[in-house]
Amino acid sequence: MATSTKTQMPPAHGRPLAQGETRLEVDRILCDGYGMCAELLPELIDLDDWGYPIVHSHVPRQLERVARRAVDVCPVLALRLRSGR
Amino acid sequence: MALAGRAGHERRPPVSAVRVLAGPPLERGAESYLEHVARLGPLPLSQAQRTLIPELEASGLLGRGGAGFPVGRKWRSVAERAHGRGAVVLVNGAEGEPLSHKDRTILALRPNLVLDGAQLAAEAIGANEIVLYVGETAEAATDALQRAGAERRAAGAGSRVPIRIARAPDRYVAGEESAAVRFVNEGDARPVTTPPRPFERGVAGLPTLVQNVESLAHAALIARSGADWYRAVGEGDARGTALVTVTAPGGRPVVREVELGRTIGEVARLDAARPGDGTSAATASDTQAVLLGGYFGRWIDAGTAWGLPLNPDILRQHGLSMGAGVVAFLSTSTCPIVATARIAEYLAAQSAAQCGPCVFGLRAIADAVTRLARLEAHREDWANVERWAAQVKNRGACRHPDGAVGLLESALVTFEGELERHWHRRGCSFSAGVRSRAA
Repeated sequence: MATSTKTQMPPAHGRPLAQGETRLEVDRILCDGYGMCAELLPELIDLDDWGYPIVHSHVPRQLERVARRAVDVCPVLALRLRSGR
Repeated sequence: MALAGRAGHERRPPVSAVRVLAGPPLERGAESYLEHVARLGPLPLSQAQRTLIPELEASGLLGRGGAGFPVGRKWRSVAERAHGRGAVVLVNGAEGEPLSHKDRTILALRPNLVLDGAQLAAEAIGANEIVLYVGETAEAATDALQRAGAERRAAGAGSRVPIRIARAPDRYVAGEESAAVRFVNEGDARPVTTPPRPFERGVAGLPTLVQNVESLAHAALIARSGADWYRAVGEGDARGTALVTVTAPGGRPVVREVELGRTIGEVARLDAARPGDGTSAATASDTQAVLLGGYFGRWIDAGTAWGLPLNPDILRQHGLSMGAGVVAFLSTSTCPIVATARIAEYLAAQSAAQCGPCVFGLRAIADAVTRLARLEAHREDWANVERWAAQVKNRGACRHPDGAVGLLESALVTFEGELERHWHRRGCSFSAGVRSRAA
C-alpha cells in the first residue's frame, strides 16, 4: 500500500524536543481543514483525503521562516512552532 | 507469532487467584464496611504518605484502565507536583468499553476496597479532594459507593478530604483521562489537546491523579499486605492478579479474577470449571478468534491465542495489550468481517467529533468495512481502508482513532482469507452468521 513516509512519524508530542530542534504541531481539535498551511508549506504538510493536514513535524532550519508564515495564516490558529533550547 | 505451545497448560489447575473479589459470596452483592474491616483490618492511612508510593513501585502494579502505566510512578509524578498547592484524586470508573464489566463489578461488590484506595491515594499524593467518576448507567455501582460512604462516615472512618460523585456519560471516550477531567471541570466529557496532561493540570487546574478503580482496589490491598504479597502469585514474570471480562461465543460477559501470566486457553477453561452461572465456556474448537483488549484491542486467531499468556511484557512484544482486561471469543459460526464492521461502525459513531481525521476517517473506514461485510464492496474499498487507517493513526487529540484502526488492521491480517471472499463478492463463508450477533 502506498503511504507517505510523513504518516509514519511518531506523534509529535510523544518525544521531548531536542536542543535546537524546531517542531511544527497542529492542534487537532482546533484544526478545521482550511488547508492554507499545506499550500504554503508543501515540503512539510500533505493533506489527507478530507483536507486535514498530515504534518511532518521536524522543521529544518531553511524552512523555519515559511513555517512561521504557515502558522500565521492559519485562520483558526491551530498550528504552532515549538523550539527546544 | 512464535508463542508457548499448548502443552504448558497442565502444570497447574486453572484456579483463579481471588484477591480483589475475595470475601463474601459474590451473589450476595456489596460487602458492607463492617464486613470489609473485619476481613482486612483498618486502613493503614498513617503510613501511606511515606511508604505507599515506594511499595506500589516495588509491586510492579500497572494501571488497569487500558494504558498499563505503572501505578507507583504515576502517584509519584502527581505527588511531586502537588507539593504546596494540593491535588485531586479522580477515581475512573467510567468504563465506556462495551466488552468490559469489571470496573462496575468491583464497585458494586467491593466498593470499600475502591474507597480505601482513593483515600490512600489522597494521603500519598497530598490531595484535597476525591472525585468518583462512575458510569451513569452503572446504578448498582453508584448505589454501592453511596452506601459504603455512609457506612464509613457512621463508623468514623470517613474520608479526610471531601468526596463527590460525577456521573460519566455513556460514551466510549468519556473514560479517556483528559475527557474525565474536562467533564468534572466543564460538564463536557470530550478529550482535550494535551499537554498539559491531567497529572500536570487537571481538575480545578490542580495536578490530578486519574486512576482506574481496579488499580485502586489493588493499591488498597498492597497498602495492607505489601509488594511481596502482591507478587506472590502470577506466572513467570507477570505478577499479581487481574480482573478480566470474558465473553464466550454467544454468551454474556462474565467477570473473573485471574493470575497474570495465565494463558488465554486457561482463561477459557476457567468458565468450564464453573458451570451453571448462565454462561458456556469457550473451547478451542468452537472459537475462531479472540478479541483481546476490547474495541481498541486486536483480533488474534484462536490457534495462536490459546497459548498466549496474559503477560503485559510478552503481549507488548507482539504488539498486543490486555487493554482493560477484555477477552472475547468469536464463535466459528460468526462472520469476522461482520463482527469487525459492527465494531468499526460503533467506534466511528463514538468519535467525540472534534478532530477531522477521526470524524471523517473513521466514518469512511466504517462505511467501507460495512460494504465489505455486506458483499457490496467497491473495488477500491480494501485499498482505501488500508490507506485511511495509516492516515488516521496518531492524528487525534486522543487515542480514539489509533485504537479503532489498530483493531481494524488486526482484522485485515487475521481474517484476510474471508476478507478476500467478501471483496470479490464471492460470498460469505458464514452466511448463517450474517444476521447473528457478533462477540
